[in-house]
Amino acid sequence: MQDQSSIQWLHAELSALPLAPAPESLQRRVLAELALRQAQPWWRQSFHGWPFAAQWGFVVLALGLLHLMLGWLFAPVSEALAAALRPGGLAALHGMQAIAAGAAIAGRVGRVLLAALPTIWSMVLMMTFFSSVVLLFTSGTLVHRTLTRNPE
Amino acid sequence: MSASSPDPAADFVAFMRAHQDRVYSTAVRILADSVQAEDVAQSVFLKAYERFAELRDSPTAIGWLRAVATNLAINHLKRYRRRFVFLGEGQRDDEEPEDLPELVMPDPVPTAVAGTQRHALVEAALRGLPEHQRVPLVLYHFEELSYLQIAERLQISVAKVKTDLFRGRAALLRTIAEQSATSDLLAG
Repeated sequence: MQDQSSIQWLHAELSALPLAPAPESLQRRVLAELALRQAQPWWRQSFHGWPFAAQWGFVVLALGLLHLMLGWLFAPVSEALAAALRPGGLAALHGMQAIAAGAAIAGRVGRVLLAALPTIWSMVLMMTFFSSVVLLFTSGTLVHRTLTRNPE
Repeated sequence: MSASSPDPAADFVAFMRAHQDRVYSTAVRILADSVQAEDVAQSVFLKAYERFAELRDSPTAIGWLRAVATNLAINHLKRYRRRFVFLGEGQRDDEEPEDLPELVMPDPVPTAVAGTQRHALVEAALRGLPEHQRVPLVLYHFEELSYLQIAERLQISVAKVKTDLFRGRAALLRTIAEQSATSDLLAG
């Protein structure tokens, strides 16, 4: 094991090292980059640099879009659930009746989800595309490794 | 925003001047490359500018700058290492060691070498260490992180951190001893 005095000596030596002076160009580069960023219109700056109203407007718009999108996606499911929870629906049932009704709803939801799945042809197309990407990437890597390890 | 001078740009320049050496030192010691270290230091100050309202008068500003510099430098290393490893252009050197070598610690006290020359010697020896030994050493001895914190930052085990520190210290002490012996000879 390393003895404690060696470690302490090394720690003292390292701690005593002066700071490395930053290059002269650092300050220039930072200020030039800041000037470049500030010359851009506000919508091309980072979100923190946006006007307050624009930030809030963006948040409200984004939430609105999200709400619409989720509503559209889950509309069939929510309709089925709402129908089940209406008076006389699932809520009014008890015991085995409720389980049977629940299973029926699950089946309906399952059918809706299955209908939303892409067709077999689009799945085949997607699989072909991803397989080609993986194949090309792998063969490219193999060729690269072979060439770099055996440059002759 | 605190009450400060009416010119925030001038304030930021003063802030940069006050801290740029510290930030650059952290980056250059982790990366051992002055060009990459300057890139990292630039990114640190660009981030600092976005939070300048909080940082300008904060006593913890220097801690924040050092932490960001450390994280960015480590991320920089990881990004490049991942690319090299995948393409087979570099060897991973962070696997668990099979066994600890039997290291005999050299006499750590150089004799005639002193002052600026010794600092240069230690700095050069540190820069010459392989990345997997240099980075834990810098994080432990300069940034004063614990073994656990280093392991978390580098995503390696604590045992690996201890091994790399052990080997790094040994290599550093050996190089310093050799270099100082050479300097002694030259001086004599």
